[in-house]
Amino acid sequence: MDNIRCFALRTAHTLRHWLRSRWTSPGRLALGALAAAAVLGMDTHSSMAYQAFTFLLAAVLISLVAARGFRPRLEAVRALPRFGTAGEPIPYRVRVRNLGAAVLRDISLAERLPDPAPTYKEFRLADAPAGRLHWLDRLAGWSRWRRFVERRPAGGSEGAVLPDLPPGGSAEVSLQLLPPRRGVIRLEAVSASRPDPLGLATAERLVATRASVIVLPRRYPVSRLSLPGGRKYQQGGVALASSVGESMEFSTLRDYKPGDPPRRIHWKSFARTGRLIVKENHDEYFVRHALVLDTFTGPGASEAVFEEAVSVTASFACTVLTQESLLDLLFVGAEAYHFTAGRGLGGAGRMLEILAAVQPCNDKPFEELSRSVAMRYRLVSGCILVLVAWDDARRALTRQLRALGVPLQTFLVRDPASGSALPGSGEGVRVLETGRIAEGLANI
Amino acid sequence: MKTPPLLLGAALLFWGFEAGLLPLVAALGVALEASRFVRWRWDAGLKEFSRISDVCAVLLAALTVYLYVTRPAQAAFINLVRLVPLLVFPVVLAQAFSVRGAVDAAALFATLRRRGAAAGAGSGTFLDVSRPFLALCVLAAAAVNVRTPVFYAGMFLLFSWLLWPLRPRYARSYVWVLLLALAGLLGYAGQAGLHNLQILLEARLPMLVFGSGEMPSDPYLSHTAIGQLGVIKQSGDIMLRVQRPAGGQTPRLLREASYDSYRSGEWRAREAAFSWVPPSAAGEGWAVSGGKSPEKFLIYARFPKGKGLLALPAGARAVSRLPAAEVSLNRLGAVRADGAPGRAVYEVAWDPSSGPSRDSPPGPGDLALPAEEAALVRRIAGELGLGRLPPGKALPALGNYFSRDFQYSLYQAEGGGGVSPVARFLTRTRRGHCEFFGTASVLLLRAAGIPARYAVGYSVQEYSRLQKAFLVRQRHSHAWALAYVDGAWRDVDNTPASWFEEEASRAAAMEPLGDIWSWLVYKFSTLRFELPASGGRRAAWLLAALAAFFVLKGAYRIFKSGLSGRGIAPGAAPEVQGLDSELYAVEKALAGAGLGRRSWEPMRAWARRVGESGAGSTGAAELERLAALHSRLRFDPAGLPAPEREALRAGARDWLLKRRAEKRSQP
Repeated sequence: MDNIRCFALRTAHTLRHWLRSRWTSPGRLALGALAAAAVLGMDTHSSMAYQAFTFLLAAVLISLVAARGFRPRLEAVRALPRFGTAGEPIPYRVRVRNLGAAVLRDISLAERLPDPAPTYKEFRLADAPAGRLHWLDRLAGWSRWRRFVERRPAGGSEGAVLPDLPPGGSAEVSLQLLPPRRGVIRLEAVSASRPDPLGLATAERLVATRASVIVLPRRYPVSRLSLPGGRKYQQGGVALASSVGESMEFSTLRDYKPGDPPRRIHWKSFARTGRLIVKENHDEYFVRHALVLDTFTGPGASEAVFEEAVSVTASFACTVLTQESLLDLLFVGAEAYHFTAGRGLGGAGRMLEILAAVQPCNDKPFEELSRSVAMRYRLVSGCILVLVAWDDARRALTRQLRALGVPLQTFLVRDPASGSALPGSGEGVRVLETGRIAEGLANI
Repeated sequence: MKTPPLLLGAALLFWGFEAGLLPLVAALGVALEASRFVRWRWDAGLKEFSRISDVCAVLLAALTVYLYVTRPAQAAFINLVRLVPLLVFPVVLAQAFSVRGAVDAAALFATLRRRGAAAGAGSGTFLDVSRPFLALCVLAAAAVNVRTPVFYAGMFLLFSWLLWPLRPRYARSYVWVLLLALAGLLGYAGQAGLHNLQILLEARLPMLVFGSGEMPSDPYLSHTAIGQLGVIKQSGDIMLRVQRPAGGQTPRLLREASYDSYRSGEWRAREAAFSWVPPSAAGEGWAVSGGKSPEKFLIYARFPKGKGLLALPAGARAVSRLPAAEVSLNRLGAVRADGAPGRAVYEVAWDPSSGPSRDSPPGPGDLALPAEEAALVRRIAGELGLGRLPPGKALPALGNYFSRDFQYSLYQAEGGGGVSPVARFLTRTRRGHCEFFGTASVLLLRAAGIPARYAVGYSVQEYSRLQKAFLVRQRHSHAWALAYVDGAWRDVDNTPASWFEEEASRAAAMEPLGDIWSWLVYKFSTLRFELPASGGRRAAWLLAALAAFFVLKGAYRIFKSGLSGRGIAPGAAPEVQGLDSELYAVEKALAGAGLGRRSWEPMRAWARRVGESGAGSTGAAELERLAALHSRLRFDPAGLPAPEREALRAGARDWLLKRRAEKRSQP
């Protein structure tokens, strides 16, 4: 059934795009009247609508033919920022130059965005919006489709009208991207369009110019997080944190013991004494937090919940990294990933870039993440867990971390309409409900 | 973008001129265009536009129901389109005088309104309805169908008027004019061509006009299944319902058409053009033949595309109650109806004792034999001695021949052999379906010198107690012969009587379910014919029932919203937090004493002021405590814990009781 829905919706989507991009407002009115006249004028004896039909058909066809004569020679260069944030407009400027020999008038410039229509597989996995849907909507799957399309990184854009361009002349106009969701927007071309002389059809030509912009996750304000737990010994010390090379504070010399790394042998002492002597440094202790994102949404899970979990993780990443600490971001995608930031190892921006690309993981068990976290528990002073569901595997992870003495803050992002499992009151899990995330985080 | 000045008024006048409503429409046009000169504007929001559009929708629904019950479907649709501008005019007028100059899409579409209501706002999309209204006026003018060049000229002018101010700056005026003139010329030539094409198709291809497979009989040509091998399959779809009055007779055969020329499995009607039958003086029906008509019965039939042949018994005299525009008859007794609704009931007045009486007297063609079968049928007719018998005895002799030596079968096993299928039927197989028997009967009668024709129609045999009518299914379609004996035509059906049982045994297992559905459709569609017949009384009842349905639905919605608003459902929070606070009752009580809260005043500040004023002496400190609880209930995102919520409820109640007691004790 879903493939029929997807086909029908894709056809409707293509038709809608065609109507919007290739016809002006009077042109769409003419097409609507043409369709109505075709129905009403089916029998030429019973009404005069067939006359309206033939006239409108002639006008529409003439417009389509006249629109084919539009072949401007343009060059366009975008000044596009590298980053944007989901839900916030990204304004940028485009410089356009007329390479042709004729003056160009009435030209509109717009971004040619990638087609947001989902594939059949994506549509099948897309979740329906919360709340009661009209039965027809449930049957047609329109809300599911619209929700998916609206959540694509390249949601929409605002075009601009170019001033008159003489031959060789150039002009700069402001365009705007309106990304509703995190991710990468790859832009291939801008479109220059102009109505035909009758003003019904729109002639469109693409001007190729490639660029991309990373849309970072939406962030919520989070108050400074105080995770109990002291500093932890960090092998490698400051070098790991701030620079490459040996810049550690010298402590003492001692005899070599099997297992000592050869680079720590003090060759001068060896030359003097004939024994292997190694140098020892002061130990380094930092505050180091683990920020763990649960990517195991499971089949049929709400995409909104996952997106909010990424936003919550991004909010913590920004907040914790303004504190003097290291932050390890852990999640599982194609494999178990681990990124460290803070104290010169890359800032919040780098971590947000990673979060902009994180995808749900549906082909591995949650235990992959548990294992990855357990391997690092000795290094971290505290751990922030952002979960997208609550079950035995997740309960086991929180219990294990507590048993290992790792101070823990656990957040469960949950859709209140889904009726998914809730943790018990004694399990120390804060529940953040979709739609009220900011409120939930403000209460921490 | 707005429409150019006076264009909407001109479109309205154009429609009014075509529809003959000029005075009324001129007033509407003036009202609409007055918005350009009058500065006053109405601050109409979603609520106001929703009300207006709801009223328009109800009027539209009522008009649709009225037109549907009083006219054939196609005529109802055309009439509806004619009047639509009048019905949507209030929305256009409200837009013209509104501050915003556009209509919230949520006011026009129920789904958007519901979604907007859930979000506590409108759709955020505003539509300018003036241009669609312009198109609607033109379509409505087209539906009026005044066949003069005024329509094309008016439509062309209005379209040009709309496009002129919108033409792009780069396009030179003369180019624009030339292109539009070209469109006008092409459109004009196209409309003439389209109309002529339809006329040509109607004349040349009657099958196209009569159309689908639902139409079993073509008055000019009958392709038989003679010569087809294997099993002939026919469905159990109900084609006709025949209702006779109590004690009345039911016709056994209902004929749709007859043919006079046979060749290679095809029967044709030659020179069988239809001629118009004038309606009776009272305008209630059409007389198809002369003579007395002691009996009447009703037939419920389908008329795909509003046209079809009427199934009539041999002694049919007149057809009445048929909501058709035109009835016509050909010389072979086929009666055609045009401009009928898709499903219709008609009453047939007939004389059961009479033979076919609407057919022309026989001509030389009614004795012609096809070359392929001529020698064989002459030989058989000679062997049977049909030519030597008087016609009155030849018919039973022929009947005996078929009933003695032939069997009914829907299966034909063999073919070919250089022999025609009819010859094979008569000499070898001696098994076949009704078309074989009908064709062979006609050919043998002609060979015996008796004028004969081939008739197709239905056999009426299956009575349904549930539906209180005879059901005539597609598999009951039948063929037989007409013989001209003693100066009159007679039905001659030589198909063995076992054919009906044989056909019935092939009924699908799910047929009863299909019958029930078909019956429901029948009951619904007959409503519209019974309604006008009952003098509008039933129509009024139907409209009243519809109105009652909407009222009940509205009441249910109000009741439902009331329930959720009062927060009676356990655990259900009010939409806006804390609006169920009991402190509002206290506030109201004090407002009556001149200590009302000011619009800008927070509840706690008000409680303090009341306390300081000393006027509301009843528990000033208590009031402040309650106000503090109230503020938490209203604005704490975590809400108020149950014990404190209960404390607020009890405190407010006690406060009101104390105040009441104090008031009573005052002199």
